[in-house]
Amino acid sequence: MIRNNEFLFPAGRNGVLLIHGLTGTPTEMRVLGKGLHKAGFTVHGMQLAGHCGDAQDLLATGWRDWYASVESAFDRLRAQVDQCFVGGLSMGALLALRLAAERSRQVDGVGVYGATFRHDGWNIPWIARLSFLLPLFTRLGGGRTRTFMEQPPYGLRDERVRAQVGAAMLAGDSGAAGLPGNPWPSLAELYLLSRAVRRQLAQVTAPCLVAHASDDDIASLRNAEIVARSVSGPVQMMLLDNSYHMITLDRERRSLIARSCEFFAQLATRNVYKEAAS
Amino acid sequence: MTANIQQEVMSTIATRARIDVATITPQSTLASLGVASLEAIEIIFEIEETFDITLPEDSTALKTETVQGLIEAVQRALADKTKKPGDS
Repeated sequence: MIRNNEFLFPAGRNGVLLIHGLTGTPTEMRVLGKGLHKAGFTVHGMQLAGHCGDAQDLLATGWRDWYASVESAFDRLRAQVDQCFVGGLSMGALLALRLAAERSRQVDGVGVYGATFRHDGWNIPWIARLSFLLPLFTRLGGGRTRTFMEQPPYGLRDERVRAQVGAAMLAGDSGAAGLPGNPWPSLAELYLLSRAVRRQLAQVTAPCLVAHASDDDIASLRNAEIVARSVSGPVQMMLLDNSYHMITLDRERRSLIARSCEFFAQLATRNVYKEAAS
Repeated sequence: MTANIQQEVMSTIATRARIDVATITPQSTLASLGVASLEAIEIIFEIEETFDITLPEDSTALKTETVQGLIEAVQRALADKTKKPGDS
């Protein structure tokens, strides 16, 4: 059964929508959300369709459902604030970029955290690196019941966090820690989304903070570079040398929170001046 | 100072676990207070934020750590922070 793990921290008239990753949960965005809230932002950590339940719940959905849930969460938040920013982790970063491409007048800035177009990090087994072939394979009926199981370090360099997340995930607490593996059909959906978003990156005109672990175990730095060289808006890069893929929870989370607060706050102030001048 | 640390640590746990602070004793463990594993992580993060410290990764077996153990870990981290470079 799907559990609702969304969070809403109401504050001022500047809002941030936070989007978790594939098989993930809003919990992975919560610490960042609290930091942004402390800095005065209204923060909504949304929950993607089909997530925080079991594998069957996830398999009943595809990337278009996930994106539809992002749009609907964004519309709800947008109605409560004057300026709206969006940030996503891993696949959530792709969904955030798609939203920024399709709603370029409504999205005022994007936090692109550990963007994952392709699972090509150092901890991905060679067979899983071929997962970009999955859309074709699953269309032919293959691998419907197969799953790529997550392997330690689970995208986490911080051993305390890794121990807790690993334990919760393997105990079946998907609402708190996410599913312990990626079902092949869902990964195939991620690759379909990835293709669609790559084609749209030039339409992203909002400023982007592209943060990525330089030693990312799940998605190599090439994923961040794709964003940096393809979007049309200004880009700030932030490389994290002491974290793995889950940068919102890992060792440098506090630096990431501080940089995100600064990035969104600067944009909010600049936009207010711009509006006053026009 | 020690009393403040104890009060702050207990109040953070109480808020996150949604329990009355009066039910927490220094001997309580996070597990015995019904704190789930990821909530324990959030409590640790919040304590680090409040005191502007970083608790060592190997200092806490979070599920079994007592509240007193956490308070002592915070005290050690604060003492390390105020130590001048070159002090032994």
